[in-house]
Parts: sequence; structure tokens; C-alpha cells
Amino acid sequence: MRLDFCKVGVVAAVALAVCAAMVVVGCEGAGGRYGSGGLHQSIVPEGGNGDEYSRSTRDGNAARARGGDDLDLSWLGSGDELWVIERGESWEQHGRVDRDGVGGLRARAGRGDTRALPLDGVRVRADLVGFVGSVSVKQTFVNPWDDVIEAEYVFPLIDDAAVTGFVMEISGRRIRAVVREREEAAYIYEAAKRAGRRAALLTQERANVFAQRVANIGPRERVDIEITYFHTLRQDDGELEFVVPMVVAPRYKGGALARGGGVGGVWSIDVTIDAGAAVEGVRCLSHDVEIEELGGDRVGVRLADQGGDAWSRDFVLRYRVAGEGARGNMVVWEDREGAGYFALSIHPPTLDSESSVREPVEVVFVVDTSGSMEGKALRQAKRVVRGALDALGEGDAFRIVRFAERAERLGGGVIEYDGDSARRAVHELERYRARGGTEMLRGLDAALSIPHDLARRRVVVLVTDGLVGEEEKVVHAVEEGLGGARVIAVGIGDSPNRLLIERVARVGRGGSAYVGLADDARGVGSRVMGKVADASVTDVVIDWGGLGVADVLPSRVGDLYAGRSVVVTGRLEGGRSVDGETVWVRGRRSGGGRIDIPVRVDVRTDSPGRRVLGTLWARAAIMDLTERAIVTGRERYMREVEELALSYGLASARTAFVVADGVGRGRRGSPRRVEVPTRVERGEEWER
Amino acid sequence: MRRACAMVLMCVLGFAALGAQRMGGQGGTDEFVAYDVIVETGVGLGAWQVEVRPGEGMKLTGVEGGTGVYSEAAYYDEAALRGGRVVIGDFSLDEQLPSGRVRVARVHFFVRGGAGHVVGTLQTAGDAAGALIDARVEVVRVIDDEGDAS
Repeated sequence: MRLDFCKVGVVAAVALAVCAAMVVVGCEGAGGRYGSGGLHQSIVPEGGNGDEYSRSTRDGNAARARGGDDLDLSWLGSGDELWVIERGESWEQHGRVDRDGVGGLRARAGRGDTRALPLDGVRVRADLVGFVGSVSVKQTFVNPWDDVIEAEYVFPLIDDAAVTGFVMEISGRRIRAVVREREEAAYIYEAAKRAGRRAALLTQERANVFAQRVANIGPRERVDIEITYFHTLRQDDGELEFVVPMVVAPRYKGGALARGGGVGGVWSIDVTIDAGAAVEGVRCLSHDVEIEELGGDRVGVRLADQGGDAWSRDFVLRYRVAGEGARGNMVVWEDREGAGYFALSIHPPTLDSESSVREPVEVVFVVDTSGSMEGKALRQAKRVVRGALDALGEGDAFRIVRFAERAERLGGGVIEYDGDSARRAVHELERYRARGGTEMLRGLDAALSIPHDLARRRVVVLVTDGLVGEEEKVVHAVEEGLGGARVIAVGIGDSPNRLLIERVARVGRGGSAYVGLADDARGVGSRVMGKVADASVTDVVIDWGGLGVADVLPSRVGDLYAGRSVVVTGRLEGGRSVDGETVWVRGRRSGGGRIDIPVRVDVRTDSPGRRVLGTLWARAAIMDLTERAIVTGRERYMREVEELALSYGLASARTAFVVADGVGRGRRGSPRRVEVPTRVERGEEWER
Repeated sequence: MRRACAMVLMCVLGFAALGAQRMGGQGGTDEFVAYDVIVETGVGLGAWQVEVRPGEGMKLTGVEGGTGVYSEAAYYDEAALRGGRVVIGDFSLDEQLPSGRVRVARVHFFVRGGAGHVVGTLQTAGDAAGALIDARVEVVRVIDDEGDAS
């Protein structure tokens, strides 16, 4: 779908607005910073109800849309701009609209009442111990109205977050929520709402998007909601990375764009790093922070940045832990019978560039040129490709596929790499413009269906913001078409779809990387290429020795890349203690020779150990089962997801947290419903 | 004719009764209640675990803390809940452990289709050193202490 826009003066706009469907105004308003134009594209409506969305794609700019049948321009001020957008074809002609609950900028409250919004603040507290992050997110809702309200809020979490706790706090009373089957939880919540009880419901809408509803918040009343979760820290380029997502990006789905949004309110983020060894190079890529040495190898990090568009991009913290060379770490929790859980982290060796000999590679770049990539994002994507081309050499070959609503291949066949071919490719690349939908499947099909030159190792580099709603189909397509190739996914932008990027990387047995709008994209492209082409350890197997392990995840460890650790979790079947035993990670070293990494087993018997390791394994199992359900279409995998989630007290696609206060008699009457607005990615702003 | 009319009338009444029953099940007699869990002991209570067995149609909807060192929301056993059992517990490392009648938790229930009742059983209680101690548990329905907020 494409809409055409024309910038006109106010007078012309008024005239046109009679027959046009939508008016978009740039103004300075309470809802965010609004500035002059830059409006290039309109977005399909949510549900054919006469409303439409619009957006601005310049940094910090935004647009506001109103229905054309309700034009009151008296609020236009001096210096404001007026944009008129021609209504496009009906969304119904373009496929379905995402209705799966992904939230967005929705500043409605009753009939046009848009007073202060009930999300008053968010406090994040994280303890990063080893490769595990233990995070608490406390959201404060305050009802500014004179009557009772229900607040609805959609927010992002990191994609492998194992949500284990949900506590509602009212007037100093803290009530822990209970995990139930999703339908049952929703039933209880609705019954509590009807009965005038204060209640809350937490549902998982996607693996990294959650929706929360809080019912019957009294006038001026404050309700705190605390969510706790564990997750494994990602490691790349030798650095551990901790991310607090703040944006639910809009997703393209079958011809339509689902709503997106980011979190709102005042934020605080406090992080303590306790890596068990010296911590080096602590830096925040996204925000201003205060860093403090806490003693004993512990480091504290506090968010200092509160201004501007600080909440329109993910919080990304990176640090390095002292220690060189290949090593492993295996933490086990076992009960008296030796049964329990384990987490094995493998840190691959750093490449010896002088001794390693790289195989020739054939690289297929798959570049997203859809509308959401417009501006800086596409420029960064082009730089990634240029950087990757820089890293190629004699004997290598490449191809470039671009996709938006359709896919196109550059040139007729495989392009042998040399200086001239690289220059021509860059020249062609610069001609790419971003527009249209994100039919990623077409791009991947075009890339994976190219006949494989077996003399070269094939590497597919997917460069995208990942803003598609059909993640499952994309992951399935990669798995089906992978063959002997490896896929590395590069996420572009300040809030890319990390869930998709990581899943594609995992299924594609490659890796992932992220490039923010202000990052050195060319450098990342070069490093990515070097890493993928030079997997430091291949044909990896784990020799468990005498350990009785079961349900190991991932079931197959892919290639290991220098500077990027891998975490393997599983269950111990028991029978005897395994403390002090050794397992071996074995593989083939890049450039020849074998490598054997010994890992000593470190047993813990404390209760938190069981909680953390058991939860991490259960969450990995849930993600694995969910992917199997997607690939096979079998319901039984989702039933297993439900069983696991209930047994381990985790939020999932089939379970939800619910809490209802049984004290008192409850309020009378239905609460007013308020949808908490959230912000969107820097460079984009959406409003209904 | 009269017989046919009677059959139609019976069918109508039957459906009406069924509808009324469903309505009642969905919201007519649904109720939310809370119970205080009180552990009574002669020495400082360092740790405790209680099973609260809910009656027919009762669903746990929340676990709240009690008083003093046990004011933080207690934990429940997810695996036990799968079997319909509510097992809650907590511990404290505080130097001043409470004794006597100690409200350790408050449990909240949704009662579908009418009022239910619960039975509490003490599973274990320990002192500051982790040694087992004599104690008894009492589960008491919370009477409206907040008033009607409307």
C-alpha cells in the first residue's frame, strides 16, 4: 500500500480536508515533541473504522491524526503545520490487521478525555550475576480522575525473559499474583472487575511483549505493579550485554502495520554487576549513566538520562569480564538425590588471525528496504553491507537481495569478489530507497533458493529492523531453507525486533548483531563478516562424561564464534552428586586442529539456585516447544508449554498471572477504561 | 394442540432455567474472599510452611504478606497448585523473630458459585537455627475491614 502526500498551506488544507479523510498537524503538545513535517508515509488503519494512523519519519518529529469528519481547526496555532493526507485503499484490500494485542500510542480515555495518564513511573532494578540477569520492574499507576478506572498497558521485555513474579501493591499491601491458564486468569480478572475488586492481569502477547490490566483503581489512588524475571545475558565481541527494552515497535503483517509503542512515565534504572571477576569497560550505548565502583569486583550503574527522547530507545549496557582464552562454566543445582538443573556457558577461544586460514565464502546479503527502514535505518543497513564487503577477499563471492513488498536480486548470478565488483555493488546499493511493506519471507525465499556453490561456504546476512508480525513464518522459512548455510541476522535501529533477530540467528546456526542509529555500522558489518566467515569452533559436541543429563537445550550447539558465549541448560537425572566432575566441549578449530575445553562442575544446593536454574531451563524449554509447535502445527507442544509454565510458575502464551483482592466488599459500577499511551522508536512517532 | 403448546412451553421454561443457571454460574454468586493465616508458637518463628486446603470451587487469586518480619508477600508452591493444593511458606533472618500469634500471610480466593471454606494445616515451623518447633495454625476469614469504597 502506498499513499501520496502533499504539503499545503492551512487554507488549502481546510479546503481539501472536506474531501480528504485525514488531517495531520505538527504542534507542540503534551503528548510529545512535535515539529515540522517530514511526513512521508501513512499507515493503514487499525480496523476499518474510519480512523487512520499517520507517522513522521524524521528524528523526533511526530504527527497527529484526526478523523476528517470532525474537523475543528480552531486549536491550530501560529507556526503550526498542517498536512493533508490522501486516503489510500482500504486496509481490507491488503490483508489482515494484527489484532494480537501489541500495544501502541493510544491516548484515549472515555469520550475524548485525554487528561494526565495513569502510568506515573517505572523503576527497574537489575542484578547481573555471571551470565544471569535478575530483574525487577516496578510500574506505578496513579488515577488522576474522579472516578474509578481500569488501566491497560502494553510493554516490552527482553525476548527470553522468564517472568516469575507479579505483585500488586496498594496502600502498602503487597499481594503476589498466581499463575493460571490464560482463559481462567482472564475469567477471574473479569469477575473481579465486575465485582469492583482491585485486580490485575498480566498476559504474554508475544515472547517479548506483555499486556497488563489493572482494574478498579480508585480516584487519586496509587497502585504499584512489580514484575520480576530472569534471563541470560547475551555476549558478543567479548562483551556481556544487558538490555531493557522500552519500545514495542510496530510490526508489518501481511499488508498491514500493527500498532506499536514504547513505555511512558518517569524512569529509573539501577544495575549492579557482579560477574565474579574484574569487570572492565562498562558503557551504556543508549543513555547517559553514572558508573560507580562498589568494591569486590562489583560495579553499580545508574541511569542519568531523563530528557528528550530517552524513552524512545532501548537501554543497552555492555561490559567485559576479565579472562582470556577458551573456557567454560557449569553451574548445577542438585537435590539430595542428585537430581536438578544445570547451566553451562561456553566461551569460545579468540581467533588467532595469523594462523587461521579461512575457507572461501559466498555471502548473500538480504537487505530490508521497506518503509520502516526509511532514513537513518537504511543508511545504517547500507553501511553494514559495505563493511561486510570490506572484509571479503580473493576467492569469495557475494550476492545482494533487497526486499520490501517484493524481492529483487542484484545482478544475474553470483558475483565474484574483487575491487570493481564491490564498488559496483556499493553504487547499486546507494540507489536503494525505503518504501512499502516488509515481506521478509519473499526476501529470504529469494536468498535461500539461490543454488549453493558448494566450493564456498554460504553465509546469509539478513539486515533488517525486524518489524514484521509473522515471526513464526520467517523462522520456519529459515529452518526449512537453510541447508548447509549459516544465517547471521543484523538488527538495525534503536529498538529492533530482538526476538526475531535472535530466533533467526539461532535457527540459522549463525549469529546476531545490532546496529543502533548512531553506531559505527560499517565497523559492525566488517566484524560480523569476519566472525561468520571465521567460526572459531565448528562441529561442536559436548562430552557429558558420567553426568546423567536430560532435556538439554539447545539440543544442538551450533558453531562457536569468537567473543560470543553460548549457554546450554538442562536437567540432571540424579542418582549421585556430580560436584567436581568435568565435562568437555569438543570441536574443530577454525584453520585446522581440534579443541577440547574442560569445564568443571560447580554444584550449588541453595534454594535460589534451584529457582534460577530451574526457571532458566523451563523458559528455554517453553521457547523450544513453542518453536516446535509453530513448525509442526501440533497442539500437543502447546499443551506441554502450558504444563511447564504452570508447574514452574511462568508467564507464557498459554498462562497468565492474575491477582484479585479479596478484602472488603468491592466498588460498585463499571470502571472507566484507560489505555496507557506508550512511546515509539526514536525516528518514528505514532498516534491515533 | 394443547399438548404441543405445553411441550413448547416446557422447552421455553427449560431453556430459561438453563440460562438462569449459567448466568448464576458466571457472576450471580461469584465471590472474592480473603483469609488470614496465623501461626501460634512459643518461640521466635524463623520459618514456616502451611497448606491451606480450599473448598469446592475456590481458586487462589493472591498471596499477601502478614505482619512484621512476614509482611512481604509469601511464596506459594506452583507445582502443588497444579494439584489444587495451596502450599505457602516463608522464612526470616531477622534477629527479632516474632512469637505468640503471628499473622504470617493472607490468602485471597475467588469462590465460584458461592461461599466456600478453607482448612489450614501446618506442615512445618522452625526457629532461628532451623530447628523444628511446636506450633499451630489458624486460618481466619477476613471480615470487611476496608469498608465499601464506592
